[in-house]
Amino acid sequence: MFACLYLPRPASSAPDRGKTGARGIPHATHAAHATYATHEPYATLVQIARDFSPRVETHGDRTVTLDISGLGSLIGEPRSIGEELRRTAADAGLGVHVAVAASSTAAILLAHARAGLTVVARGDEASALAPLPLRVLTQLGFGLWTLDSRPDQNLEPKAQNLESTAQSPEQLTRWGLRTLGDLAALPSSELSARLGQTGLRWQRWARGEEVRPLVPAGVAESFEESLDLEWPIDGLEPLSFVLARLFEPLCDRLERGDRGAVVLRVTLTLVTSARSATVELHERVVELPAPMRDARVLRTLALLDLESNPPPAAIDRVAVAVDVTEGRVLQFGLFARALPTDTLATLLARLGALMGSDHVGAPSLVDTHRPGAFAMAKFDPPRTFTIPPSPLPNPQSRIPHHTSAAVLRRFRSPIPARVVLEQGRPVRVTTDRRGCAGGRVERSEGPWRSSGDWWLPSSIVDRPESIVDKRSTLPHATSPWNCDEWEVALNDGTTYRISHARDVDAWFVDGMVD
Amino acid sequence: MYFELHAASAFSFLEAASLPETLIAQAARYGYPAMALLDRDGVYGAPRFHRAATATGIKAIIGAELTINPTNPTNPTRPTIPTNPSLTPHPSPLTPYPSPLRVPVLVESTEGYRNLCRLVTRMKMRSPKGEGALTLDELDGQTRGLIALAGRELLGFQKYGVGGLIDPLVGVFGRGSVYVEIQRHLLRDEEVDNRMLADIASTFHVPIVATNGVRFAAPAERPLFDVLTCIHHKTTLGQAGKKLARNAERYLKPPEEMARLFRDLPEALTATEALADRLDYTMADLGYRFPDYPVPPGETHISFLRKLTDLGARERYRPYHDRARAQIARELDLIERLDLAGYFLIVWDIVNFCRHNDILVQGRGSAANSAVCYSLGITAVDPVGMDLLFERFLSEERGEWPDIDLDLPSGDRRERVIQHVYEKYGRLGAAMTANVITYRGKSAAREVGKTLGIDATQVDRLAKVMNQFEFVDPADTLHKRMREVGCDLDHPTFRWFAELWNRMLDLPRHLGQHSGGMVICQGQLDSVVPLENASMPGRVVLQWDKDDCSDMGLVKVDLLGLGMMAVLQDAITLVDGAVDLAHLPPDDPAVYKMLQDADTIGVFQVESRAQMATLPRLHPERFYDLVVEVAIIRPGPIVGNMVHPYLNRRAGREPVAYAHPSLEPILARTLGVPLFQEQLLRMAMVTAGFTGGQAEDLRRALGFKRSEKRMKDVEIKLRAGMANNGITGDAAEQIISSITAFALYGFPESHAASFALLAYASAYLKVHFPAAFYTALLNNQPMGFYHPATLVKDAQRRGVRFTGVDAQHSDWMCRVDTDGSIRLGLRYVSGLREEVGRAIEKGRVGRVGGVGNVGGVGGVGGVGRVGDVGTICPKCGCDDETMIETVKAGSFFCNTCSHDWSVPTRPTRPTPPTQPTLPMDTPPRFTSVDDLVTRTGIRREELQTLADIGAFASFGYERREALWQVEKSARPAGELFSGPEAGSPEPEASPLPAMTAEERVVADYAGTHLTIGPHPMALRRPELAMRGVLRAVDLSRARDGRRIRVAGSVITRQRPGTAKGFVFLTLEDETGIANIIVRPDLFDSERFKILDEPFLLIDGILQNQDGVTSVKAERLHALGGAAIEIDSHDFH
Repeated sequence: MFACLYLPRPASSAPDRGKTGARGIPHATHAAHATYATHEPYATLVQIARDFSPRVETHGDRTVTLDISGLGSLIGEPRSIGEELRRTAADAGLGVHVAVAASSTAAILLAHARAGLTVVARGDEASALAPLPLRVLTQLGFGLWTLDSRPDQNLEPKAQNLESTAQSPEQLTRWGLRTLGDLAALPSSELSARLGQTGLRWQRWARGEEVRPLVPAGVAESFEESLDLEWPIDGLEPLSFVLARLFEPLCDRLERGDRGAVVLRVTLTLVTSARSATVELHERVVELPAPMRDARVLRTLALLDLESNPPPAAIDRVAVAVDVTEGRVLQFGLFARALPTDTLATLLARLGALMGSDHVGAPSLVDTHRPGAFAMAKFDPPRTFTIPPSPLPNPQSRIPHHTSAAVLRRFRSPIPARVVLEQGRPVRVTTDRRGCAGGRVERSEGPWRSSGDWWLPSSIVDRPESIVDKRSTLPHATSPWNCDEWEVALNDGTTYRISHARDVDAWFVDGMVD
Repeated sequence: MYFELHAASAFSFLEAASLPETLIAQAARYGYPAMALLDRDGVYGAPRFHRAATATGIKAIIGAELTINPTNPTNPTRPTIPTNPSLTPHPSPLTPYPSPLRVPVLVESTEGYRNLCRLVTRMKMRSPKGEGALTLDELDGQTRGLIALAGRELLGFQKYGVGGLIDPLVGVFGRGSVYVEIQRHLLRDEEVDNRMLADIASTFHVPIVATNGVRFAAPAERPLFDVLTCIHHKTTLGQAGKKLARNAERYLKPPEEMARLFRDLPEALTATEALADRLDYTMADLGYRFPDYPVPPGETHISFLRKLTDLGARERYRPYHDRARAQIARELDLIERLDLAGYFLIVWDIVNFCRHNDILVQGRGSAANSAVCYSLGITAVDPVGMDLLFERFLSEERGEWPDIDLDLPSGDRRERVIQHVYEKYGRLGAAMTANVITYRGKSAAREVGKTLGIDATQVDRLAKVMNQFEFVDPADTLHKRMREVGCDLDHPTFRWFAELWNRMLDLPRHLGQHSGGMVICQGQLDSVVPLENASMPGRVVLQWDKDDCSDMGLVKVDLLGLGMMAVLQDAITLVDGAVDLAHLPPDDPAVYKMLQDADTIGVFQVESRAQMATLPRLHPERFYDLVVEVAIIRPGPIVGNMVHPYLNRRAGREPVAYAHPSLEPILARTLGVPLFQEQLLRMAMVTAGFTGGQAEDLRRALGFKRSEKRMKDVEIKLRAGMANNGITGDAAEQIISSITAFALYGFPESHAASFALLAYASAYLKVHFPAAFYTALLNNQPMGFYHPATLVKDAQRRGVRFTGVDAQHSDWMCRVDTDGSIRLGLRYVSGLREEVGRAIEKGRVGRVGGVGNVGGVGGVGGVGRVGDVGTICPKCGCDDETMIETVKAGSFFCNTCSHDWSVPTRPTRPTPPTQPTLPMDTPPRFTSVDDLVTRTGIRREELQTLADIGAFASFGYERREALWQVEKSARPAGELFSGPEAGSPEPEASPLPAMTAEERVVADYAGTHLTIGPHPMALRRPELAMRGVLRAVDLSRARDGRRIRVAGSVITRQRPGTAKGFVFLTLEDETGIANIIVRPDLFDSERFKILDEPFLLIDGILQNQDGVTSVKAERLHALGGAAIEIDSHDFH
């Protein structure tokens, strides 16, 4: 016998669009455990099912089936089991539909179609299902599909099956069928001749026949450790020892489960005044650049982050948790060693912790005319090092091999400057920056004009100095620009690139030509 | 002095942002004495540029940017990157330009212009629309009179040696005809190239010239230019990156600014002046000539025309009376003086071709004012008999070519005439005029929204509210509309949207094809204007629209497709020539009764709801009334408040009066109310002493709404003329106001008369040969005012019987069966491919063998036979076999009264397909559904649709039975089971339930967009009756002013510009149509319901006056429940 627990959506809430496919049907996923944290009621539902039976299968994010064979001697008749399930769920605050039937298919269909408890005697599945409307099949595209597939199949073919499942009930409606009974009553061989195996599968569902055995889901493991301190600690040094004590067993478990941490969560319960009614928490989340399970590294990263964001009070309780992913596999080559990614990842994490994660990476070009624009891409060096070929001259090339190109060294941020113009050309450039005093312009080239992103909201305010802030965030520029650039050779022998923000009439030294 | 010699207009289609007129206006502001326009691969904007320049005294230099593909001479038609090379930033030797490139050329002489046109034609005629490139070799020998500008693009072609392509270009054009072009847009890399270009110019002894490569008139237009670039590259502003302009420097700069930019290269500036002086060519004379008609030896054009006219006049005028003789003589003298005889002969020749090929043809428009045209058989209205004004057609003062429009049956027959003209005058001697498609409210909203990255749903909503209807509420501002769809103008994106949308309106989008205007040329038309392929196979278009052609002196003949002509011709064929259009009884009482009752759905020109509302009031009793009816529901009379005075005078409620006694002879026929353009002209002639030509000029000036100055001048002249004749004060004001209000939208009487002829003919056919008329209408859809579903219901109300689509009987087109019923054609089956439909039609051949008992009734499937037990409706007594459908074995349904019943004695099993319900004399096309599948290649979805709509009734299948059967037939059984012996000899009984009446209607609409069964409202009538809903037919019997309730499917939605914001809906139920008037405020509050709901229930006040009923809506309710999608005609 099987029982199905279905947690209907609240009437007011729209379906979760983020989890639906193109046809509005939930995407297939077996990794229901991964969603426990975000779907709390569902996690409770699964837990309730597990409390009753070890053989539990999940379907989507609202349905659970469990094998209740053998529970009779413990609880009693199927109806009693169903009532007990429903009562337990109600105690947990869940208003679930419960159906008990000899086949899991029938149990699922009935649980979705009927509120409360439905118990069907063995052999009565078809008659119990017969009055249900055909649209139950559409609503249950996902659940029925998982019933009919092997867990070891990969995801893509499943998605295709889903498409055909989604279309099929429309076909049946076109035939004038209204209920599952109508479908069940069709001659099987004729149905097969028209819709093939798909049609037969629908019919088996409609008749409440078992289409495959229940596939029990594994128990989700959470990676969390916490410690209640006997007395509050203040400062990071004592915390370091506590963290080490927490991370070591956590990393052992990660090792055993072949998992790697991708997000690290540290929650510190702070000492609060006696008058305070609420518990004050200091929570930090560190996103890790690569999956890792080295306790020392995790501790270091957590401490680095807390250094930048120290807790405001002494700590009563320390909890660490990690979001995990599959363990990382390193492939070594015959002739080249894989890069020490752990070390690199740690380094990047350290840098990120020090500088901020968005200030670490590799610069990359951006498709824009905006002067000096670049983006920060993930620092991802090639897996193997190869020696670049020596730049031998190409005899066919028309380009001279030895080109002594000038190199522009950009200042980040640009240096505000004062520029004296004569006949529209700069004749003197000075700044307040030490080492960049400026001087008389001996020669100048320009202006080179560029403007763009006119459709973006302008963040330029009247104060020219605010432009410096704007220009210092060039990689993330989100406002229009309109500027003239000049190359100026000064009397002290230096050559600068200066620019004129035309909208606010402000000058800057953008860089120096080496 | 600087002259701008390289500017592109919006006629470069998405590669520039300003109209030619805007460029010229800006040039005039800066004091440019001359300016050149070089659009991409053509002279699309040249006429407008020339016209605007001439008006402002600027010398208009013409040229083009030619696409050249130097690296791929073997495949010149397929440019690899049709992009905007003028904006490509880095022509570095390291990254050579991808082919093709653009070479700007300027026209120096007439020969150069002809060469340019021929080169562009060659490029375009071998390429798909919008593509094409020339090779350098093709330029060789074709460049006399052309000057090439060699710019930085040419540097990229390293394989041609130092200087890239500049040396080969000098070789092709000649050293004296190449200038090195230097542009300065304040770009670092451009300046590097400029130095190289200057060196190369010096090396090759070629002069340099400064240009600015103008893409827009002013810097403020740069955003629009960027948007166009995004549209061109199908991207958004956020993603366009370096495809966008680097700065806004490509605007038309003042000469002083250019002088500052090029102060180090003064020779480049002075060269512009020298070059502009050298470019002598203007578009004043294109060298166009209308073709000569080959006359018999010893004849001249005019002598031959006189003879032909005389012969024709004797035929037309019986007797050939003096008035006609005098008129014809006057016209011929004028034609001779204007040397237009050849033109009349050519048109006569085309008309003759139509006659010889049984293609109905009728001249319309102002040509119908000409007795010569009438005599030659070009028009069908006697201008002498109707006292029409010849000057409206032709006058000596205007010095213009006459405009003769020929109406032809739309579709294949019109295409035959067009192809005949191509064959006769050569592919390069005739071409269709273009139609410049411009950005309108919706299209601009869509494009701007997309480029700004606005969410697709939001873009859809924005597009929907932009210019929803013709009427524009003064309070209906852009801001208000945008607020309605939840767009806040405080947000910069939507602010930009509003601005760019405004700027984009009326900008050219692409070149289309005019509906029928054909230009014919003596000699090579491709020397006069570049020609190119249209999207439609076999069509060649020229690069100018009809107004440009007219301005440039190109003569066109309009070969217009008119759906009603095709209907008339088809209907006459169907009745086997029982009707002769030329000899219809002129005053058929049945026809006028139908017109008076406004029962005019499907009748040409008088079927709109406004016309139908006027017909009972006007009460037409003779042909001229119909002419008035055609002309009166037009913006001119409506705006000029002439409709009600005329109708009141006609009904005797108002005395006939004239603004001045001298107007009585002119306005007597229209009871003192001016209704036609000819009357306007005559009024000016009589009251102000204008000549015919001056009067026509007056009409044009008033019709040209943009020129206020011109209107004022004409008005002054008119006042002066009237004052001379002693007409002043109120009378003068009244005359002037009626003329000015009317001129813009007035209808020529001759045109109204031509249309009235067609209206009368169509009404005659509707009354006397309804089956043929409706069949022809259905076969020529889409056309007219109503959807086929409405036409079918209208026909049924007139007693026409229909039989449904049937795979064994239906042809692709609808037809009239021998029993007088209309058999719906397979063309109405949604999603059925024409080739499959035609294959089903051809399946009739053979296949009789093996079919037994073909005459047996069978008792199931198809339509029951008269005399059967079940085929007389027990409720309404209907015995019309086409209206009684056999639902299932022994079950029947009456489509007349929606009653279903069963006869228990009928067999309950379906009859096998070996006993189809076919008459003895009709051999079946297919022995089974499997046979049909095998022989036609039909797809599963098509089969399902046919089954759904009952098209397998003749196989003995009810709809669901058929569906059950086709599901099996459409599923491949595999080789093992597909042999002839493997098939089941007997079809299985269907376990599926039969369709209910409502399901059948839903299936009909889903499968054919119409139903010959009960109207959807008939199925809901009991429920509606309980809710107090009146039927449409009951409205005329109800009391005026009564509060009533009516419901139906919405078949039209209108918001005319002349109706002050009122919206007019037409609801249809099983008994007819009901007219609904919606107040503007109600429309505003119920906008989405009115626009989206297919069925509405209206509470309102009945207006029942003069036999015209309408309901003034007070509340609207959506009538949900039916899963039917009704197609409505919404006129925006």
